[in-house]
Amino acid sequence: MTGPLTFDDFKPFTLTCELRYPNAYLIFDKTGQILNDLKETLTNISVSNAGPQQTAFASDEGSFHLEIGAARFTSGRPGRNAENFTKHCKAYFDALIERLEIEVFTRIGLRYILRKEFKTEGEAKLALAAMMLLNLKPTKRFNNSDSPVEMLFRWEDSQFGVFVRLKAESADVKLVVPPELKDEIPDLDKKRFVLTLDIDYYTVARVEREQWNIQEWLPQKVRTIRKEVDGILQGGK
Amino acid sequence: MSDTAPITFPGIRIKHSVRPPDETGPPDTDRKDSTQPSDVGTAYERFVVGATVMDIDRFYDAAPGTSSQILTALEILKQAIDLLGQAQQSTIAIETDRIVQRFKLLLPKLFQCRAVGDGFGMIITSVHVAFENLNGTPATQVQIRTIWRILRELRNVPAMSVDHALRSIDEMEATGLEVDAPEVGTLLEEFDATDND
Repeated sequence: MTGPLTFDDFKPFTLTCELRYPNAYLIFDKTGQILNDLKETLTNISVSNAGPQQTAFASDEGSFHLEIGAARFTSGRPGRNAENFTKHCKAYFDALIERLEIEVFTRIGLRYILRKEFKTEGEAKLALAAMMLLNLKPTKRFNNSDSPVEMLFRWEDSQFGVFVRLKAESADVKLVVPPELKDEIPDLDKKRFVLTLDIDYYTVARVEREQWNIQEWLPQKVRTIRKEVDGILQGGK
Repeated sequence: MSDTAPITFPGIRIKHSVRPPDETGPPDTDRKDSTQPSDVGTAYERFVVGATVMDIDRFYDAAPGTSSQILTALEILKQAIDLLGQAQQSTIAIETDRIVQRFKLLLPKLFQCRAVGDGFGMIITSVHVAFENLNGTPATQVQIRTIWRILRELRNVPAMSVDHALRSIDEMEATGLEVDAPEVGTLLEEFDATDND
C-alpha cells in the first residue's frame, strides 16, 4: 500500500438520510397520498411492506421507510457528490413533511457507509492498524488479536453528533440459483474482505422545519464528512 | 454497541429494535453482530445531551471557501440586522437615515439569494418595495424595529414558508409600510374598481 488511505479510496456502499419527528398521526390517512406524490419523481415504485405504523417501499432510486416517528431514504448508488441523492431526498421529504404536517425534527441523521476491498482479511486488518488511530501498544489483549478489528469514535455536543466506525471484516456474497437454471447461471459463493467506513452525522438539537433547506444542507454535510474523515484517516490531521 | 446498555425490569415485555435509538439506521446495515439486549424490559438509561434549538450558524457551518447561497444569505442578513440595530440606537435622525441607506445597499445582494426559499424571497422583495414606497421619507423607529425583528426571524428560519412570510409582511404593513410595488397598487385599484362595477 502506498501512503495512508483517503476517503476517495473507499467505495460508497449506502447513503441514508433519516428524519425523526414527534409522532405524526396523519400517517394513518396520508401514506397513500405520499406515494402518489412520488409517482412523478421516482421510477418503478414497489411497496414491500405496508402497515398502519410503518410502510417500506423501493424504487429504482433507492429504498424508503416511513414510520410514525421517522422516515428515511437509502441509496445504494449515492455517487460522490450526492447530487441525485439530494434530489430524491428532497422529493420524498417534501412530500411527507407537507402531508404529515411536520413542523419540527427531533433528529436529522446522515449515514454514509463506504468500503474498501482487500485480497485477504489480514490485509484489511493491517490497513486499519496502519492508521494508528489508537495510542495502544500492539499486543495481545484478552488473549485475542494484536490490534483491534473495529474502532468506534463519537463526538457530540448540544447541537450535532458524529459517529465514525472502522471495521476490518469479511462478507459472504451468495447467490443460490434455482435448480432449473443452474445450467445457465452458476451459483455464486464469494468471500470479500473489506474495511468498512461507517459515518453517522446527526443533529442533537431540535431543528425547525423552516430552518432546513435540504438542497443546501445535504451536499454541505456530505462535503464536511469527506473533509473531516480524510483528516482522521490520515492519522488524525 | 456504543449505547448505554438497557436496564431490564422483569415483567415488562417489549420487542427491541436491532438498531440502537441514537443511530441512523439504513435497513440493510443493522448490526447483526452486536450482543442483543434482553427482550424483557422497556426502561434504559440514556444521557440526554440536550433538547436545545439548533443554532442556525452551526446548522449550516461549512469549510471556509465553500460557496453556498444560504451561507451568503446568512452573512448578509447578519450585516443587515447589525445595521438596523445601530439605526435603532442612534438618536440623531440624520445618522439613523445614513445607517438605513447603508442597509438598503444590502437588499439587492439579498435579493440574489432568493432561491433560499419562497418566503425568503417574499420578505426581501417586500422590504425593498417598502423602502421604495417611502419615497425618501425616513423610516420611523417603529418601522425600523419591525423590519429588524422580521429579518432576525428570517435569519433563524431561512427556509421560511410562504404563510409565515405573509404574516411577517402583514406586520410590516401594520406599521404603515406599503409593501406592494406602485404599479401593483395601481393594478389592484383598477381591479377593485372593475370588481365593484
